[in-house]
Amino acid sequence: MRFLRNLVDKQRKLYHGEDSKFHKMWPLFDALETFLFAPDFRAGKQRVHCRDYVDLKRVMNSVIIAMVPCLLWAIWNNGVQHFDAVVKMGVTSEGYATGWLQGLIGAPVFGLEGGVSAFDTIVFGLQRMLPLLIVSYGVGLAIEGVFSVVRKEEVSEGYLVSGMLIALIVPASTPLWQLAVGVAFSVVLGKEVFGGTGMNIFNPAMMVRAFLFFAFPAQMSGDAVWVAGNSAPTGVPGNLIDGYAEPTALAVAKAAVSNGESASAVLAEHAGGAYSHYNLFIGNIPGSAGEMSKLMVLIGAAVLLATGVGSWRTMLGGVLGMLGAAYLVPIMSQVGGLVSDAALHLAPWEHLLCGGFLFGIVFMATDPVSSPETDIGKWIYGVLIGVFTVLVRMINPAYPEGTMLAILLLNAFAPTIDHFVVAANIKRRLKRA
Amino acid sequence: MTTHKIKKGLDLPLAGRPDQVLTDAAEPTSVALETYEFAGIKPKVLVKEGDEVETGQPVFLNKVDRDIVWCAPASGTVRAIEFGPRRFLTRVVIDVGPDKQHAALPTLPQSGDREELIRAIKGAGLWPLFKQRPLGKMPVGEAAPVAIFVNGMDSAPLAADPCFATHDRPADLQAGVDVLARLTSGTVYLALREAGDHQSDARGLEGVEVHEFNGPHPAGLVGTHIHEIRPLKSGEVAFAVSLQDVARIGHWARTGSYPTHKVIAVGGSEAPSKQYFRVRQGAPLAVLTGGAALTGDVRCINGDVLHGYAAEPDGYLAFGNRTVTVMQEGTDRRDLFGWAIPQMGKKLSNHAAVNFGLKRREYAPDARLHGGHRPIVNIGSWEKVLPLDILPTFLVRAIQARDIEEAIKLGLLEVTEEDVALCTFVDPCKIDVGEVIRQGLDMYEKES
Repeated sequence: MRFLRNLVDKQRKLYHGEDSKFHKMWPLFDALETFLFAPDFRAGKQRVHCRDYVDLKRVMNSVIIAMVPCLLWAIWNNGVQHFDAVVKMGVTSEGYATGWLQGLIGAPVFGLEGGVSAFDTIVFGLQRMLPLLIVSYGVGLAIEGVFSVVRKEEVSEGYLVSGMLIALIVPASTPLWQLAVGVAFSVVLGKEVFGGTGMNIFNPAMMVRAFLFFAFPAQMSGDAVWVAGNSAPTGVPGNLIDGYAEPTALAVAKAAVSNGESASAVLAEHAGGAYSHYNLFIGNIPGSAGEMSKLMVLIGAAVLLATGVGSWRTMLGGVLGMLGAAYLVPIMSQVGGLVSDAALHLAPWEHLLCGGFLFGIVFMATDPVSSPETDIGKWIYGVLIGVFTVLVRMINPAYPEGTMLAILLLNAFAPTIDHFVVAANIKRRLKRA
Repeated sequence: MTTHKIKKGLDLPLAGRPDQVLTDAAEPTSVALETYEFAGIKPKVLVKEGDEVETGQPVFLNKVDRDIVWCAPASGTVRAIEFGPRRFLTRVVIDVGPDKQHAALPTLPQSGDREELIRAIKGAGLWPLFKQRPLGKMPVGEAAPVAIFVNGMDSAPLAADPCFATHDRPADLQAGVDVLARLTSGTVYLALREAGDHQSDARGLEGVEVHEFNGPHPAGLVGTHIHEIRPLKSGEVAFAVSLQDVARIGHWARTGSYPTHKVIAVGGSEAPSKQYFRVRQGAPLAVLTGGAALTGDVRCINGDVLHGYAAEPDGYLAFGNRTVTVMQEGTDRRDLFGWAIPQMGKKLSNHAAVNFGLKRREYAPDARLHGGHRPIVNIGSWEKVLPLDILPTFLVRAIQARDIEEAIKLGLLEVTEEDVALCTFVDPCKIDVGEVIRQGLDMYEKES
């Protein structure tokens, strides 16, 4: 450690101070140095002389730790889903085109019944997830770095969470150039133009997804699932997965309702129980890279709540809002004919199991910057996200899933919600005086 | 008697709690009166270097209100008169000689005239013991207090217990309360811990309305008391004074002599002796910390870790101070991966630093910030430690936007920097919330 310290101190001279050789790069050096060693800032001469050990790095780190179970599941399950699809399409070792990592480590060995080993599954998962993470972090941090240098500010940690979130909420098959464009768009126009971390209106990770959703609808329609393939010449069956279309659980449910069938029943029977409650909960289903397993999301939620970093008000409000709306909306709107028979719809708790709502409310809605800052505001915000998600799922004819739109909408309304809570506080004070 | 339960807040489990043992500290060879703790005064020095001064003789006055003086806490010779930038008086140092009382020290007027009483208190050098709310500074101007809040508890980490500091002085306390009652047409409130030792004298006082508080810090701050007991209306002012200072006022009222001594709690992990001392006001801090000036990587604080002033090694006890804390400074202590390593047993405000179940273990803090400065990212940590009905984030933003009107609507005048000290402590973005609040109050003062 002493050695490392000396090394950093030696380098420091090149960057620190107006007359140093690379002083313009100081924010970048500082980011690296404070990553290694806690900064040597001490409390001023008056007021508060000691501070808590929590800094923004630690806060962000807690969120990243909370997301690790989802990431691990993403690596595993992307492999599982991929090989399931490959085997269903009748591909064996001969027809299989390998990807970059498989090329390095070795092509998967298909067993007699077509299955592959756990190792091959993980290799495929890594092969998909690592590039997503690298592109997401690489592009995002590079842009943040440039803005820090231009602004002569310390590099903020906010993107460390966004970068991971982005990798978890896009389809694992997203072309990397699209992801890069989306990240650049979101970091520059969604965050830096407002002044960087702490100043943005919308959740940057959600911006990426929204951008990809509307800019590249072919890859991200939202009603067909994403099973990742290897990007190789088309026509080779192993690379799928363009030809492999499987509706998402919510799309199945929506179609069932419009056919006048009970969504719950159809969902349970779909594809031989692929969307059973158990599979939906454990996450043994295709989907975006990281939101599939509700179990992993709940583990993440537990970490966020235990560390006090995520707001339990937003999370609980969201879940209650969703359950309440899923129960009430079909009953109430039958009158207007907007929604068909209540009995046809998914049970309220099934709404929690389907789609990305749980991931969204735990990791995306709780973003401290883009959510309201008052306690009451967080309740309102959470509940409304739940309600709007259900409204999109039930009433909107185009999109089977509404989490993303609901969160972005409520991001936009967060300051308004706060405004009313603050006004109530002011009114209370005026009354007292 | 009403009991107020404070739920939000945080008690810092710091090592080095002072034992409830009271000894007389050595008599100092020099004393000093310093001006840094009295924001907003314009001092004019009344003595010259080499002058002989008597105990209780005015040493400097406040040009804003020339009745307000500061008196020598000991008799002797003026050794030094020091000035800072723009010839602003920083301190007057007196070499202690044989004790001589200043005969012209005003005594308690017997008539009921309030103006006369105020002039006497000011002339006796005791006016600076009061703090005015709003603003949290020494009261100036004509506004009569609608109430006086006596603080008989201090919940700050390692702070002196006012009840222990005054437990053998019931006559002084009662005389002091009688003076307070003449200062205000309203009520004199006394805030006490719901349960505590050495409270019998305080509870036996007549002419005060006792309010009990329980809960974590800041349950023992006057800002919390006012908020709970009697929030001030627009235009109203209240005075705040500590129980020990009431006893000092009472001592003057009873005897007519200047109260030269006070009781100080010395604590903190690096304090040589962790106990209470009876010490002459303005004594060098070294008197309390083992005789010689402290050396090494320590920070000696005139006050507690949340509301104090860091003193130079040769510093003197501050006028309004009742606690001395000696803690580690932490110079160049740069943890490898400091942002990630768990802080077992030290984690305090939220669990991000991993200290599950270890909240109560005491630890020795140092002065490091443990992080870099960032724009406000509100993870709700300020709100968790602020029991007042105030939205701190919005208040701070309003001040930063220089929107004082909005800030006042959001409760700027109900707080001072000490009420938000815990927000500063817990803030992951390392913002000095108290500094922002003080800027806001300064802006308000300038405008009004």
